[in-house]
Formats: sequence, structure tokens, C-alpha cells
Amino acid sequence: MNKQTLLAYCLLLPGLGLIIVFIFVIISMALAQSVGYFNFSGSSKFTWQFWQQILADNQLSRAFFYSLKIATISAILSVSFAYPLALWLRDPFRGAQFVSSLLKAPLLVHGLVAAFLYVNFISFNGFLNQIFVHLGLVSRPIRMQNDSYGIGVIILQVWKQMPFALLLLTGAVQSIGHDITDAAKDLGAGAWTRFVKIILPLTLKALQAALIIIFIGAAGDYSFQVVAGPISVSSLSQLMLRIQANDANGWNLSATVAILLMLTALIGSALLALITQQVIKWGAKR
Amino acid sequence: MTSVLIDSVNVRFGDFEALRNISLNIDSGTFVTLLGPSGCGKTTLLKTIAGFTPLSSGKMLIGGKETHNLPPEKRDTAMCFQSYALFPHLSVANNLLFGPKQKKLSKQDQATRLQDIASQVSLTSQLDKFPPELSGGQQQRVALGRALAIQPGIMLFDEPLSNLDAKLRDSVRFEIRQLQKQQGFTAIYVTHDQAEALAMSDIVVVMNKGAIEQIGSPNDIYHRPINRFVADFVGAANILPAQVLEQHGNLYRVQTALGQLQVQSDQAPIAKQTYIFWRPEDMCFDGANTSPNGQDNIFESRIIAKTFLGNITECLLDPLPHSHDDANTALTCDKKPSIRIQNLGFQRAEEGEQVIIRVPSSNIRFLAEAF
Repeated sequence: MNKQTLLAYCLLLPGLGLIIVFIFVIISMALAQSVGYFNFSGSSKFTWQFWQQILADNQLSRAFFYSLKIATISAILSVSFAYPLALWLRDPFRGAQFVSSLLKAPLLVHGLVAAFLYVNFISFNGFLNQIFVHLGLVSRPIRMQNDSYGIGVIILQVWKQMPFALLLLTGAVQSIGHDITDAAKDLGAGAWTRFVKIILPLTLKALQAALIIIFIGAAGDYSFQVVAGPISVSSLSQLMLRIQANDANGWNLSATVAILLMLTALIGSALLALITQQVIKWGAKR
Repeated sequence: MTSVLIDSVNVRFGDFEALRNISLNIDSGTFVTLLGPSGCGKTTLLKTIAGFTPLSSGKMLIGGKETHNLPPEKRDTAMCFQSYALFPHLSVANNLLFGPKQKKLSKQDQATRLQDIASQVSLTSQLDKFPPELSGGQQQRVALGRALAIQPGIMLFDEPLSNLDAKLRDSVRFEIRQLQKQQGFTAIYVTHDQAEALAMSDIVVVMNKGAIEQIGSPNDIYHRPINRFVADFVGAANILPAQVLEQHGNLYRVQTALGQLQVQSDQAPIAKQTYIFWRPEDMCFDGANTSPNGQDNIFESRIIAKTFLGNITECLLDPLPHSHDDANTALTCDKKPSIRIQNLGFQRAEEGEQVIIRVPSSNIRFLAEAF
């Protein structure tokens, strides 16, 4: 290793080193706790007891599939909504900058605030119900908040995460030269074919990045779930915190859920990205 | 084979007029070049033919069919882009097959088409490679093959050789022309390189500031330009304002800043005060200071600069006062112009040397432009 490379690593150390140390400490701590070490309420020794206990718990499987559903649907919907907007904003037009800024506004609103405002909006006596009643669409207010399917959470996730996807996809879409899409057009490709065979494959990396970021964020969501999520089922992060507070071996059991949450985010996002890649490549070659 | 009829076409981008009253008739199977400087509207015209740029007014017929609101994918055209515009995520084979797949050709026909095109553009051994793995020349062939694969009636070329080195440019230029002759498609070729335009075309359309300056064969455009812009843009030219003094048959005596010159022209000047021009290769160094037939123009000059270009030598000359100057003519008071001369091979004359120059009167022509 020459001096310059060494210097570069030294300059990276304050930032990168801190990240690596924290990740290592947190993950190893969670792993250790999940197999019985750092037990705050009993003897610290190796045991599978906490894994066995949590895997046998019906709440875990429900939380797992619920979080998986919310994360997958939110990620797919966010990029689906972001694509047309990114394509629309590709060519400069009067007001494009304003529209683009407006679409990114949710990034500035904290999730908890957004969830509160949303619940306020759809609550039994909220604005939406009042409008429905006023317009005669319903005779009396309907219950919309904390729906059992998690639709409210998905709406909030998409609202909050779509700007992320838009940010990534706009850059990727804008980097495709007009000549490329014109060439496809010239060779007989209609709008949908151009999207499927040219734009999607050429923005695959940005698409995968958007899917991964949104999936991980949504899989580990707590604030939207607590404020606007269903009462009958918990998300993985909600379960993790509840177990920690309610059980004598709370820290160890929570660490087990945390490991599962991390694995879900990691494997789920990787799978989603991989499937997307295969589908897009298959579509482009057809 | 497909013809193109462009009638009084205008294209505006906001307040900017990109194309002004363009009318052009392109016969089937001809090779037409749109020649002009950057920003003259040649690419815009090509894109309006392709359907990428809508017309502001006027009409356009491709193969006798009105193209109004006809999207690019429905036109009988294929375009070779300046940037090649290859699909980087698709192999050469899939790039070549992109068009045939859109045309819903059967798998068997696609395979046959692929083999035909790949051999035509010499890419048979590169089919599995991806565009970034190819050289510039090979990428150019893929772009050409991809356009040819849909067997268009009209091929549109947007400065396709501008990214190639000089030697490769010559060979690809030749190949494009050969392919066009073999397949007989109508070709519309955009370039700012006058040598390319003259070498390849049946018809050259010279454009400037969004309008057509002149349409003609390469020979006409080069030897009979209608104005100073065309004369100067298509090759080097010596252009002088001239006042017609007298006429004897097809021989005119004109007063210029170089003095009185004789112009032999079957075409009469459009005005008493007009422009004359001749090409640098239309004049030569001469040993004698007299005209053997009495019609050649002889004058003395000093060589300001000399450039040896291999096959030719180019000199910039500063003409010395003419013995027959008419001091009463305002033109003689003009700033004396420099004259370019190009002669074959190496010339022994040196910079600063005084030489005698001969311009045959039949090599000087009137431009259809008055001042």
C-alpha cells in the first residue's frame, strides 16, 4: 500500500470507521443477546431458548408477514408512482422546478407529524368524513383510521418514500440521452415498449437502489404503524419494543426480533432487487 | 423506395425560427446532403422528416403520404444518429434486431435478417458483444445496420461520421454510399463537411440561418454557387465586389479592388454592381507578364504565407497595384483583399517573394448577388 492510499484511508477513518464500529457493536451485541449473552435479568450463557421462544410465538409470524407485505407494497407503489413523474420532469418546462420541489416536500415533514396529520384527516370527525357527509356520499362518518389491512400505513409510506424514489429515478432517467429514446421510437417502438425495453433496463440500478431503501425503511417502520397502523397486528419493530417492555427476558427476546428484522430487510430487499432485475432483463430481451 | 416532398415548412421554437419556408423535393433513391454551418437548421430539418420535431406550418409528404401527426414509429424512415444512440444494455445482435422485433417479424425472418445485415456491415463476429466493448467504427456500423435492418424507404443520417478519425471516415463514407447504391434507399445526409457532401451526394442542399441557400448537384454547388455564402462555405473562394464596366459578347470587363479584370461568362451579371469569384485552384503562377490570348487576367502579387499540404501548396497573396487601375472607381479605394491560390505539388516560390499570377477569364464567375 503506497503513501497516498494510506492517506486516503486515514482521511476516511473518522467517518467510515465510526460507521463500521457502530454497525459491528450493535449487530454483535444483538446477536450475542439473542443467544443468551448480555442477559440483564439472569445468567449470561449460550442458549437457543430465546430463538425457540420467539419462533414459536404466533405474533412473530403475523408481524413478519405484515411487515413484509407493507414493505413490499410500499416499495413497489413508491417506484411505480415515481417513474411517470420522473419521465414527466425529464424535459424542462415552465414550472418544472416548482413541481419537482413540491413533490419532494414530504422529505421535509417528519414521519410522526405526517402520520398524525393523516389520522387527523381521516379520523371519525376528521375533514374527509365531514366532506363525505356534507356531499351526501355517506349518511354518517365511517371509520377509516387504523384499518386492519394497513392501507393507512401504506399510504403514508408511499407519500413519505416516493420522493426518495423520485430523487433517484429522476437522475437516472435524465441521464438517458434523448437520442436513445428517439432511436427506439424511430425503430418502431411505442411508448410502453420504450419504457419496458429501454428506460427500465437503463435505470435498473437506480430502481434497485430505490426499492432497497424504501423496503428497508418500511420493513422497520415504527412511527406510522403506531399512529396509523392496525390495532390487531404489530409490525416487527413494534413487536420488538413491546416484548422488550413486557417480558422479563425482554432485551434478549427483542434482540432476537431485531436480528430477524435485519434479516428480513436484508434478504427481502435483495430478493426484491434481484427479481426486478430478472423481470426487466426478460422484458428487454423479448 | 420513397420520395419526400417538403412544402413551405416552418419550424419555430418560441420566438426562434429554426426553419424558414423550406421547400424541397427529394426523388426516390437519391442521396441528398443537407450542408451548412452549425445552427443552420439542417438537423432540425432532418428531425422534422423523422417526426421528432413537429412542423409549425407547411406540409410534408413521405412516399406521397401526408405526415401531419404521424409519429416517428409510423414513418418509413430510419435514422443514424450522430451519437450512434446504441442501446448499451443490448448486445449487437439485439441492437440489430430491435427494429425487426417491433415490426413483428417471425423468429426465422429475424434470424435471416440478422445474418444479412451483420454480413453487410461486417459485424458477424461481433454479434454477442455489447456496444461499450466496440470501437467507434464498429459502433457506427451497428448504428447503420440497426437502421438498415428495418429496410426503411428513407435513411436519415445525422452527421454519422463526425466522431470517427479521418481515415475511418473515408472508408465508412464509401461504405454508406455503396450500401445506398446497392439497396436503392433514399438517403438524407446531414453534414457540415463540404468534402463529405461533395463526395457522397447526388444533390446538395446548402442551408444557412434556417433557410435553403442553394440546391444543386455537387458540381453546380462547387462551380456555380449563387451567392457569397455558398461560394465561401463550399470550399475556399476568392470573392470580390465588382463593377461591370463593359461587355463584348460573353466577355465582361469589371472593376475590382485588384484593378480591372476580364470575366468570360455565358450568364449575364444580375446587376452592374455584383460579386465575382474564383476558386484558389483556378489560378496559377506564371512566368510571363502577358496574356497569350488577351483574355487572361495577369497581376503581380507578394506571397504572404505559404502552406504545403502534401498534394497541393496553398499560398496567401497580397496583390500589388495593377498597372491598368482605374483611379476613378471607388472599388480601387477599398481595402485590398488577400487572394488564395492552390497549386498541385510543391511550389518553389517563397514567402515574401513577388510572383506573377494568371487567372483565366473563363474561371471567374459572377455570383447572383448584388451589392
